[in-house]
Amino acid sequence: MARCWPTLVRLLVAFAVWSWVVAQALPAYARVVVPAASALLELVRPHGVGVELLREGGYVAFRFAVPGRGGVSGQFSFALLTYNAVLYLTVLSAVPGPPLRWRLRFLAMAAPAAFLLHVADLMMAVESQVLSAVQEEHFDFLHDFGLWFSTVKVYNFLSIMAVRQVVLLGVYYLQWRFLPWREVAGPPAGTNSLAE
Amino acid sequence: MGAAREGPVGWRVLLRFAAILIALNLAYYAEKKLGGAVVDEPYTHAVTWTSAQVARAVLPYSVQSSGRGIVAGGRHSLFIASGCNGLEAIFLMLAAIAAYPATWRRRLRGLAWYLPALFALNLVRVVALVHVAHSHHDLMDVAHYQVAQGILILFVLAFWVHYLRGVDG
Repeated sequence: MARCWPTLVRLLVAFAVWSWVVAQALPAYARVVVPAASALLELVRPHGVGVELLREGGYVAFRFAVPGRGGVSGQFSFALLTYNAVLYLTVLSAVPGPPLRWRLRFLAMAAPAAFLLHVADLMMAVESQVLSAVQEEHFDFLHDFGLWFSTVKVYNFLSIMAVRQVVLLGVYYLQWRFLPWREVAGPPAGTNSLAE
Repeated sequence: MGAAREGPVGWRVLLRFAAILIALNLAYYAEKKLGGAVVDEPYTHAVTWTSAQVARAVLPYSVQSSGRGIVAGGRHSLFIASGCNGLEAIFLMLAAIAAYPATWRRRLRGLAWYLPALFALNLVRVVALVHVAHSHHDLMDVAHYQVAQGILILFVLAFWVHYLRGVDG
């Protein structure tokens, strides 16, 4: 047990630092993610609906109009969508082993994956809202089952409960395990701290 | 590559972890859709009530709970939604321990330690959010949507690493 405390303390300190840094950087990151998702939604026009996405403080606001139902609007917390970046940065900086150069390479490789995940997650959240408006009848899934409707609803539930938490940690684990940082760096003390 | 040196956390363990995690969450989703009377409602009410009791004991203002809601100082309310009741961390811990090869005795001992610890940590998280909602409302978004979401997952990771060290000696 005694050997675990330093790792836990390092993780908590790194988490506190990265939470603060990411909170400062989120507005700038939102200026990249929200227009990208907005452009893709404009291209796809889910179910023929034009969706408008806007940044409003720490939130992403959405608006769309459905024939016969009028306007629909709402918002998502951008921090809730992207907090897994804090988890990734925490393990990247606090888990001992890889030298700094390799940690930067890990980060450079993970950044596009994180960006794509955040854009996709935002689009799926919007799609879920659009489906709630245009295919309301599928909420009664026992009598009127909709495969895409159910898939999107289940995905969004899984995203909130599990996917957001584990995907970027999984990316780090794969990098840590499969990239050849040990061959270049040699085996420094503490490389076993993840899962040996 | 050195993959063979890293012990048995391989693809099989990762796939088993993913399968168990998805199965647990799908079961929870179905249970919620069927009314949530068995798991979701009782568990969330238990978290709400216990958090309110702890908050009442440690915070210097009145705290009331009703259903899934906690009201601090008569004004600031907190609603414990299904994704905020800590079950996501419990499921992660269950899947991580169940997926890793170990004796059932070892697994059950691990769960007997870590699940109550996660429940207790979640109470601390909720009480901290009650205090932020009451006394530092301007920090509520960061505290709720960023810090409170990640902190339990970090403890799951730390507990899992601790468990693996015990299993692998």
